[in-house]
Amino acid sequence: MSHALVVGKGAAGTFSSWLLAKRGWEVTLVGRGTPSTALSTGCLRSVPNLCRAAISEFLNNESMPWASGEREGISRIGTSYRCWMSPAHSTWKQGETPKSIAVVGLDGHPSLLPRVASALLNGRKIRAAPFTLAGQVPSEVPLASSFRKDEAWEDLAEELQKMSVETILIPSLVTLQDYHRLDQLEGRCGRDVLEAITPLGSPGQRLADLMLSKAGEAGVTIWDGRKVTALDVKDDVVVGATVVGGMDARHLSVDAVILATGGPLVDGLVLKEREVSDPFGKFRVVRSAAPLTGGYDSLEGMLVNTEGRAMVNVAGAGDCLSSGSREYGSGLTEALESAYRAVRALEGT
Amino acid sequence: MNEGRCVKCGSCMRVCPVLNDPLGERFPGPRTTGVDAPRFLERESIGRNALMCTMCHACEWACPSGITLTRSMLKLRSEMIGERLPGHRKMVENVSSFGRTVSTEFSGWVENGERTLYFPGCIGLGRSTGLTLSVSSLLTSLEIKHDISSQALCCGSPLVKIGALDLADDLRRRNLEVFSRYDRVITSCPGCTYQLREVYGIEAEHVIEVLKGTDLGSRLEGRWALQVPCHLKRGLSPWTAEDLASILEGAGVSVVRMPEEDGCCGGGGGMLSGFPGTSSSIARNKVDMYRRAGVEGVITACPFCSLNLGREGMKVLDIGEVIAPKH
Repeated sequence: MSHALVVGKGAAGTFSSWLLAKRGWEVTLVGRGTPSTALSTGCLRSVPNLCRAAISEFLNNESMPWASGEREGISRIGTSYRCWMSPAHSTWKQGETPKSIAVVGLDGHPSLLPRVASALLNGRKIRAAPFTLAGQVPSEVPLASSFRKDEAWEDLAEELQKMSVETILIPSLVTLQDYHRLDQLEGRCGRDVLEAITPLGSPGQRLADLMLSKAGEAGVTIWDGRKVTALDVKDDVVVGATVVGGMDARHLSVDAVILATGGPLVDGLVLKEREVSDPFGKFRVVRSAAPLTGGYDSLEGMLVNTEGRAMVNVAGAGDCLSSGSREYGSGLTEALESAYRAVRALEGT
Repeated sequence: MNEGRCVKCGSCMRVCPVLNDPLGERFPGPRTTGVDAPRFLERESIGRNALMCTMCHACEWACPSGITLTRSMLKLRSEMIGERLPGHRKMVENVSSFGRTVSTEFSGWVENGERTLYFPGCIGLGRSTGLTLSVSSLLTSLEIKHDISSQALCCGSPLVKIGALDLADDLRRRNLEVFSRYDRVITSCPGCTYQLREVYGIEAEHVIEVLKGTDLGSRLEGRWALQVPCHLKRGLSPWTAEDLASILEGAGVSVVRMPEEDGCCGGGGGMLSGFPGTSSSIARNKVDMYRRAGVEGVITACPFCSLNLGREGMKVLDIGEVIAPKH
């Protein structure tokens, strides 16, 4: 069996690992740090054109059902958010705007701002009223930690039952394992429960957790918390990699590599002032004056070495690739599509 | 240090076991203590709640920018001024008077001039002496003749955690004299192993590394969960942490894998002595979670994890207590 190394555990890395494993490859996925997928809203804003069925299968799971189509939701400050695919409790079908919304936040916690959000919704002719629940969670502390136990959800349900509205907007509170609690809450309080769209919170983390667990289920060996520090290249072919974790290191022989190391943060492309460069010192990088568009050069899906020749067995996926233009909010869909292209490019070899 | 790379994403705060505990809200959090405070001139007066961290490295693993938060926090701790917490004061007194953080209960010293030293660490000699005897007989059954030296003192790791660097350095000098008589040092505490490798430059082996590749069996019955020690997985080696599970499974133990198994027990970083209430609250929540999973008990490879979870009524065994060679 051919052995592929995938570097990066965000959307591009996990999806390409999953695709390769499904196609019979032995896959080792190496990644370290929270990927930007986990910092996202956990929704796909733009519609994929390339591999919609594969993406749907990849994201399909029992813990967190999805809704897709023309969807609309509300951000934690009350602005409108439109997307193509979201967790079921995050959005409604466009055109079916809730008649009345109670915006429920926790006293002093920034996870959802009831007064600001209600004012903005009223301004958009959506009837909304703010509710602030008593709470003593410091603003630095993630709210999810206060909603691990059944009692906290019982108390919340009791409070929500009192509200005479159709829909209740709550801050994001649940992990992937706990997503079913939103259904239970809906059952208990008899209202539609809507989760505010929130970046840098649990929805993005849920998506990243889901993607990693799907890769694991497909048989991918996951080396979490580890970093690829060197690649061995012979005649435009990568034959091995050095992986470091803690005070330990391993050498891995590989037949193919997908780099999905993300944007220019520390473990991916090296950012010096306004220049990006390849941390492995092997591949050509396109530098760009525009923000977020520089990255690895590629030829028909394969990375290009420093002499300008296409690599034989190294493809790139996601944010580490250079991109002509990047539309606001399209990153996740683009990452998934480029993972699909990377796998196709490798399969062609 | 590399704090300037922070993108303010909050990943460190979402994974922090102290911030996520109901009794941990006084902790300013990893971003304040590991990223922001170290850059301020007034850092030395940050206050004692900054010590409310178990040094579990979860924030460091979560950081997308590769910031070495734990290293920054340790530096901050060494610069802090003001009175020590009562528990930390006691630790310093103990080390100053007899060289270990807790009183020594162990009496089974072996000083035969063997070439291998088994270094159980302060908790192994003072609190979990049964664990130490089990590991020692396991090593003997693997035909590894070893000493347990009464002259080997605290490795210094707990002192580094409370910022007492001079004392830690003194211990290192005294221990190195003892270690110079041996070719091989084996430990059962990931914190000691880390300290000996990182600070002493000695290739100390954790008992899991010794056991790997050996034909082992176990008589343990029922389903057991794991408590994967922080300093093993995120300090020494994530591969060695995976070996904990594979060695047990290979020996025939029925291991239940749980996503939360590598979460901190609350016992590290000077929390157990400095903030016993928060430390036991973190442990209690872990114990509740294990109970919900309906397991017989928990297997770990760290005396601190054994001690802290055990205090909350959990049945906790060390890997050294549950397996034996097959022959």
